[in-house]
Amino acid sequence: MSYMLQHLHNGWQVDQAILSEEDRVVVIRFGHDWDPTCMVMDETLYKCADKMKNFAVVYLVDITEVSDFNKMYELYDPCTCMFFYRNKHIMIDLGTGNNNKINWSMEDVQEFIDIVETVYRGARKGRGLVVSPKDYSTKYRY
Amino acid sequence: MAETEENLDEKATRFKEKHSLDSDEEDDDGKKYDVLADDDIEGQEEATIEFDEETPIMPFNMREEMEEGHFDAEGTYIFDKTKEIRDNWIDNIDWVKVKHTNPDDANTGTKRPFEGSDSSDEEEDEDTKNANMLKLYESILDILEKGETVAKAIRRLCKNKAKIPSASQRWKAKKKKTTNSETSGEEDQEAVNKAIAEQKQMLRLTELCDLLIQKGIMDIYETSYERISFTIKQMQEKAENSRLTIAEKGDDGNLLDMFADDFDEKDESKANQKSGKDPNNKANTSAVEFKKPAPPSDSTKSDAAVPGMEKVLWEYKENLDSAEIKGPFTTSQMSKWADDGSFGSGVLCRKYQSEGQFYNSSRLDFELYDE
Repeated sequence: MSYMLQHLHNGWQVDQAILSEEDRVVVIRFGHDWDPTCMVMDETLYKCADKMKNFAVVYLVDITEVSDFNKMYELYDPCTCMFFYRNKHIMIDLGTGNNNKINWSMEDVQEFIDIVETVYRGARKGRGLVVSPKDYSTKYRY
Repeated sequence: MAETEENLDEKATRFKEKHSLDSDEEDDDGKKYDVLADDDIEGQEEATIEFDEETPIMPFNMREEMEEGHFDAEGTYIFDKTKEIRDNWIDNIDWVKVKHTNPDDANTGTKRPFEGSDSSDEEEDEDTKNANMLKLYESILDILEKGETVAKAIRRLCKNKAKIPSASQRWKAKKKKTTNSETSGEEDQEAVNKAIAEQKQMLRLTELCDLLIQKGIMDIYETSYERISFTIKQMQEKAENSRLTIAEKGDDGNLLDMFADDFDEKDESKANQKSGKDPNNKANTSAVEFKKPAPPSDSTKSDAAVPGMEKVLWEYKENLDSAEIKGPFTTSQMSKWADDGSFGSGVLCRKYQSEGQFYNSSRLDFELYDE
């Protein structure tokens, strides 16, 4: 489903995408279109994108094509999802110990929308860290 | 590409803390400077004799200095602050007395024990201050129309300013009147009177805003009618509560929320300005929009605020197996229950009629859903 979502092809585009969005959450999936984990995530993202278009926008970034952020965001996982609001990285307490990103693929569409909505509501109220509705600690795989 | 590099630097600080479990980077909490090695001080000599008859001989080395401090690599001498620094003023404070002056004031932080009643602002006690604020807010509310911010109201009231004749114009008009008939003159006069009344209102409004800004409400111009009425309601509730209990705490959160929302309104008004619509016209339309959040559509960007606007209702069940779903309840009700511990270790809740999955109430921040 990755071809249905907008890709960003260089660091500048990524920056602009984050900077220019004024009142929506920017959801960026870092990974590879061919990666099975990403494929699952992209499917979810595609299904979500339209439902949450009023408060969030989704972009995909190929971490081989755009390697500028790999070190900074520690993009070592096959699939990483991060959230930004008004050029601010919004952290989420997922219960995993890593509040910066979702680094697994999610299958439940509503569950993901709920997370993004929490991010949106939190960010709008000036929070830099929000708590995800669900605790993912048991899901975390090493 | 150079720009990207710059951005990278700026964003390198985006992660506020060390978060990842696998991060093998070191924390830089060590010494911030290099200490100069003793060997690097050149030309030192061993002590020879202490006294040449009566004259004391100082050895040509740094040993004595090194007992009280050290040099950094740049050669700056730094004293080792090992000894406790004494302050006579602090020593003189009678702590028993301090604690007995007024524990309540110390708690709320309005008056510190050593700040006397020298400034008149602080002399006012909290209640009268609040009452004054309430009055100011209420008089502003009288002038505003629904869905309007103060800035919009000022723009509305100034719209007809051009119709107010200057002194010379008035004089001219008077002269004309003596020669002409006054059929059209009467209509003009009516418009002028209205404009003058509006200007008076505007002056009153700016005056009130100025007073509020002096009290630290810096964003009053961007505050909307609804927000002000909400603040008034909140203040009245608070005043009632404060009669019963001494201090309520959860207030800070609301204050923060207030700012957060204003942010959006500011942006919205900015966006509207960009589209270059007639300010008055816009004020009317936004008043309509406010009450009836439009269904999601691509037409305008301000619709993005939809999930923030609608009132969220909740339903919950005690545990996973129970079939009985209670609700709907309002967000504030849920928030109250969550705060006072009625939910115990947490119940499973979800948005009313959402068909989604149930989440543990302990992980839901109801405050976020409260407008």
